[in-house]
Amino acid sequence: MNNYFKMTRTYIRYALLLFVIILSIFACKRETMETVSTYDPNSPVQVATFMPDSGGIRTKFIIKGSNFGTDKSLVKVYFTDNEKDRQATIVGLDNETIYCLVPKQASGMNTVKVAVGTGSGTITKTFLYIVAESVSNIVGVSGAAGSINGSLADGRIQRTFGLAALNNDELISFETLSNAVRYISVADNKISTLQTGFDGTQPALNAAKTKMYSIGRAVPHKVFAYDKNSLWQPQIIAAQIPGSTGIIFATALDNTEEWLYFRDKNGVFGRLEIAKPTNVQILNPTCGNVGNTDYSFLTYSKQDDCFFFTVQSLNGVYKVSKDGKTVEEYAGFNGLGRLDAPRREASFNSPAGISIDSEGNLYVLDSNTNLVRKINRTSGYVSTIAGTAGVFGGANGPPLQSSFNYPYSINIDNSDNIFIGESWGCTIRKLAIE
Amino acid sequence: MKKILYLILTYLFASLNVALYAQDTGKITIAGTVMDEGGRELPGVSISVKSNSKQGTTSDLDGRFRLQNVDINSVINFTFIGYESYSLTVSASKEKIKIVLKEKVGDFDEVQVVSLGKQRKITTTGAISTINVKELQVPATSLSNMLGGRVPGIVAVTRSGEPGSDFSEFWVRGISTFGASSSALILVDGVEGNMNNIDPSDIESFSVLKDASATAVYGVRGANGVVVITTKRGKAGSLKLNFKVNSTLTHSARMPEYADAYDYAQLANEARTVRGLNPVYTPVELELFKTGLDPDLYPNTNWRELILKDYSRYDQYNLNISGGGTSARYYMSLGYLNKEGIFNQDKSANKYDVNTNYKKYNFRANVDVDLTKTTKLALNLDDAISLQNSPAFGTDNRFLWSVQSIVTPVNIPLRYSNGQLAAFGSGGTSLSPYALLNYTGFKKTNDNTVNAKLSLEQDLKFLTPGLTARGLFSWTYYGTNTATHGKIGEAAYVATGRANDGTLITNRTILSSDAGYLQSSLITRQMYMESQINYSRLFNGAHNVTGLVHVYRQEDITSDVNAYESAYMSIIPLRYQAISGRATYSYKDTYLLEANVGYSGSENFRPGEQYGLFPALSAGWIPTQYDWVKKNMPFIDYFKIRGSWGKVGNAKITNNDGKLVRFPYQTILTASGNDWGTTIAETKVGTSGLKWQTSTKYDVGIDVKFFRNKFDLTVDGFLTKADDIYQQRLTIPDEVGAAQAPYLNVGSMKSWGADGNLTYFETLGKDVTLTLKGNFTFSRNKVTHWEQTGISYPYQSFTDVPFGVQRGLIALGLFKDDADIANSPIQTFMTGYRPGDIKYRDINGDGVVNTDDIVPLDYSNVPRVIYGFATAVSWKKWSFNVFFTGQSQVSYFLGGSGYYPFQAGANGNILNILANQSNRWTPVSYSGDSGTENPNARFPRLTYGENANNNRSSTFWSADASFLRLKNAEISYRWESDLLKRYGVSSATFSVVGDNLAVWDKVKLWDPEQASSNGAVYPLQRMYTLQMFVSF
Repeated sequence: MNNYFKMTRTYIRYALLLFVIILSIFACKRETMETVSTYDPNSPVQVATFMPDSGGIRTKFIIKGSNFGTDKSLVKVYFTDNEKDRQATIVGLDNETIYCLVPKQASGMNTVKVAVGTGSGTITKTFLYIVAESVSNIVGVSGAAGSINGSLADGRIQRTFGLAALNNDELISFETLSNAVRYISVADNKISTLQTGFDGTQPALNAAKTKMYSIGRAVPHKVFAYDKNSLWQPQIIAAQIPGSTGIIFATALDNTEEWLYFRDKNGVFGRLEIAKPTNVQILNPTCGNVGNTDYSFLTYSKQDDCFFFTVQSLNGVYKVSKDGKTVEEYAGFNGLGRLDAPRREASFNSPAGISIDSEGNLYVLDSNTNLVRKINRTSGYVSTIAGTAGVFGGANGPPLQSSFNYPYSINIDNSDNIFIGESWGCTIRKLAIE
Repeated sequence: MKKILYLILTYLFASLNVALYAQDTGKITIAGTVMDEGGRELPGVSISVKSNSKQGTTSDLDGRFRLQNVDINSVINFTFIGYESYSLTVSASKEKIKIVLKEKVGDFDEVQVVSLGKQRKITTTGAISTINVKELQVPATSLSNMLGGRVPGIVAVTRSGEPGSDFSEFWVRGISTFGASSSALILVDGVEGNMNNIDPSDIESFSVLKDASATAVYGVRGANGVVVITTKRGKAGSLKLNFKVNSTLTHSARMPEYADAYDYAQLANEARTVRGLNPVYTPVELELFKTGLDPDLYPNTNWRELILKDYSRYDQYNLNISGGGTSARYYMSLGYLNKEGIFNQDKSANKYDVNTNYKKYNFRANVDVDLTKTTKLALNLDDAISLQNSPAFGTDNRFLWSVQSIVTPVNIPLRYSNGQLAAFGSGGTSLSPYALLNYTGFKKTNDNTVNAKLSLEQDLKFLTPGLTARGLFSWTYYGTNTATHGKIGEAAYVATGRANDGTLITNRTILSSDAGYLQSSLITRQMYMESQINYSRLFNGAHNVTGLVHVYRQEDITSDVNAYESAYMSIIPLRYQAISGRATYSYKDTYLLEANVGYSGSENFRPGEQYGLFPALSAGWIPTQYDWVKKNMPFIDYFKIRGSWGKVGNAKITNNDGKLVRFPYQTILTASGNDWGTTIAETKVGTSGLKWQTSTKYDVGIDVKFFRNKFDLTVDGFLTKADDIYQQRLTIPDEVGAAQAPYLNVGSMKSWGADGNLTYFETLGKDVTLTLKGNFTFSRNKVTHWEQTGISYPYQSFTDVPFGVQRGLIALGLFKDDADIANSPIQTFMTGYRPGDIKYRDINGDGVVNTDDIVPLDYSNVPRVIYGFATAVSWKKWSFNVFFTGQSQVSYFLGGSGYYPFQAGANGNILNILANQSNRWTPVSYSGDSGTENPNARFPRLTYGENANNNRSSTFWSADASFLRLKNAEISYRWESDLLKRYGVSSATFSVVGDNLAVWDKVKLWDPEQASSNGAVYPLQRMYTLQMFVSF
């Protein structure tokens, strides 16, 4: 008996030995095949070719060459347009190949540059960047108000005065009249209700898009916090904001993400400490002129470390410093109009929602003439990027041929997709300019 | 297992010590009983003491003896005519010692298991193959797997290698009817049983009854041949213990090999481009497949490496004990089999097991009790418990293989880099092979078959010598329970692209679900009763007469409401009963005559017409019994020529779903509502005048032994005509208004062929013996009438062609150029077929090629020829065996997912042979090389998506499934030594066995025996086994 077990053991041992030998053969093979090469600072970085020759944002882009190394953190790829270098996102690389995504850039024949450590390589060949623009429907049917959950095709919404773009085509909207907070996912093709009985306004999102705060429109202003880890379920953090007696339409976080900023209808600019919501500081009780309508939307610019807010009836955009002390007329204030021009010469028509993209450009909704306006951060030029002036509708397609129906809320995700919520139009739309 | 063995060893030790204590000085006394292996006392046995010729005695009428004053360590000899002598060394006084003498079995007395009993092999006239039980001790996956190529007359095929489903399908002398059942009756100790439930260690004899004379007595059940298995019984003598253990490593010898991502993508582009479409993948994407820089969106996943193991284990143990004395004898056996599936489960995913493991436990107890000198009671109990494990998904595990043929390396990775499980397919609604295996829960199927047989045999020699009567009652209870714990353990996602910062964007397409629980159970019960009267007597030393009358009744009842055509029928037991008889006469073992008759009943005929009479006659002549032949033809040791004729009946009818149709003579009326209100309508039309389906079987055979018994040859030729096969009458005009086509005796078929075996045995020197063996089975058939409508051309008929013959278009190769297409008949399967597509023959000459041009081709997927040959060499205590088996004249079509390239676009693997340019036709416009327009390419011009012209059954895709297999090779060593004996071990045999070691064939892609069109099946395993057999 023991002999048998001994034999089995030997047998297994030999079999194992055989396996180990076979394994090691394979292992050796693999090692010799994968000649791991690192970047050699003493050799030049050479770019031989790239493909494809043209494309838009997020086009998969391959650069062939040599001495790229394998460390993603050392390698940078730049597309240079008529303005500046645009850094591409590198997904993967080996010593001879870089795989990256084409970044957003100005249209035209742009150059490509690879920087590895201290060295860099260029190529004479140029890349044709093609801007793709479109407006599409996320949920709702133009003019058909409702509160229906379900698929996005079946879903109906009320007037949206607040919108949070959470990346990957996920949104949270704040509807007035129905006083509901809705969750919208394009990926899951569904709209559902997160919260009822709360007339929320344009929320503030943290940079990671994992935490959201919204202030109730009417006095007393309730403040709710929402956390992605709790599946965005609402949690009240304050029942009122002492010192604010006017309607609030928006809130914003600064770069510390510790304070919630607001500017009410009466021109009071202040902030509330999230960790201690009873700590409310009124930074400037007369922040800009008041105007004669309720609507004033606020956003924070990381690039300029300041806030911008619209005042609807004044047809302009104010810029205010974080401490609230410095308030300046930033754009418009030239009466009702839709003139595309440098920011102080341009005119707006009832600006409402305001949001900012990753480069610090501002986007403002002309709520009564249905336009999306862009204020270029570098040039300061105001342009119309979507909508047809004076036309109330729900047309999708090329942005300048599309139409909106009282667009009021706007929010931009990390991929610079612009989401627009309408008041009477009762739709949420996506504007992608890439 | 180990513990039990130690226990037994300890016990043996203890008994030895007792023996040592009993030692005495001086003289001792030995007394006891002498008996044969059946426990019958032997009177008159001569008992002598070797060292002292004066001492000695003979056993008395009760077999008892007593020797006194014997010297210590004397050797006592027991001799008796007709029995082998036995010597015993005595070292102490012993009373009640048991001496068992073995009967001497010469060629002349060798018995063979025949229908309902045993006959001396020399005098049988039927066509019967037996298999040496030793050959069944190889570590095969099941008993049925060992038959093909080993037993002449059996056509067997193995289609799957999955533990628990790896049994062979087999037919005795091929398929002889296209009626309800073409499979053989399996009898275990006289009662219908399941061959795969038997532990091969328990088998005493294994015979296959092939012709009508051998099977007539079984009535309706024996129409397609009978396999008769008897299990081991206890033999008188001291306790004998045998232990067998097999430890096996298995691996998949052959599986389809699929192209990797880069090859796949290039071929996909070719498939689109050569049809004037845009390529599927851009150069950037091809580069990503090549470099592997984006394993999320451009993966290169080898699913086989992920979900299959290289090796898995089989273990098999058997422990049996036997012994007994004059009043009772016993044989008991315990078996355990554990086969592990080949799947590589992710242990971190679940705590439970999802591999397709199979475990079987066998228990058997055969007890014989002599109630009186003439009355014997036998009780057989056996129980087979099997446990089959698998993932919960699907009704069987085929999906685990089909999904491997569907999901390509470029579809999805196992998990995305963000940790999410990947899903594939249109809309991402299909789980990956990995998820199907690991995340769908598990299923356990538990089968239990219990059988108890009680028989009583009475010798009626007080009435007349040679008369015996026997009664048997058998009860079989089969229960199965399947418990399914189904769930989707983790949600699965589809990646749609990347965000600006490079993060992967995924959509959840499959939601996870909590575990659900489902179970189904089924029981069947079978009751069997028989009684028989046997007569056997030799008159005047020359006239040997035997007779048999046999009556049986079998009753099957099942809880399965889907067992029969209509649910209500399951409440009615299914019964068979018959009375049959046999008479044989032989004169001086030279002239042999045998007559059999069966009078069988079936419920399928109306009362009063239920019985049919089925006679069979056979005769044999053994000229070697003549002195003249013995003198003048001494090189022939034995020659027998035999012939038989007989009819066997069958009354089984199955419908198109394969379910049994019962009581076809009944018309069923059902009330139903219609425009005229409630009316009564016929839903089933009863058939009056239905007859038995009858097979008339002819057999001629010879048995020869020549050159001093060195050669042993048996050859049989056979012809079977099956008439009145049940089919639904289709050629009834609608005007008749029949609600349903009734079953009638319509079809007919004949089959013919030959089978035989040749053995050569040679002793080379003192220690070396050589055995060469070969056998073959050749079986052809032709349908002589098939009820059919809608035949426009004679070749569309199923009549006058072999049953199951492959049908397809005749391919004339690939179109050379546009002129070739223009000058050929129009092929109607699709528009825009091009050079490099398959060109077919317009059989009916109507100028178009369509489905009317489908003709019967060469063979069916059941081989016509099966053969096997073996060599065994034994040298001292070593033996070497090699066994080859093969089949030929068999074909099937290749095709389907994983074979037809890009048949379903993005889903479906591509064989890596396609990447070899010489295997496919590529237009010069794509390749730039006119040599790629290869007219002999294995694959036509590629198509992305379905190509209705190419992807259809034709000779282009027909595979010749002939093969020769090195089925088995074995080296074994038998170890006997005093050292072992000291521990009570009489011998230990160690073997190394290789199974399915090599295959020579033409399919090459996967095992030809599996007849799989795309290789998406559990592969037949190659096995390496270490076997140990110990006798105590």
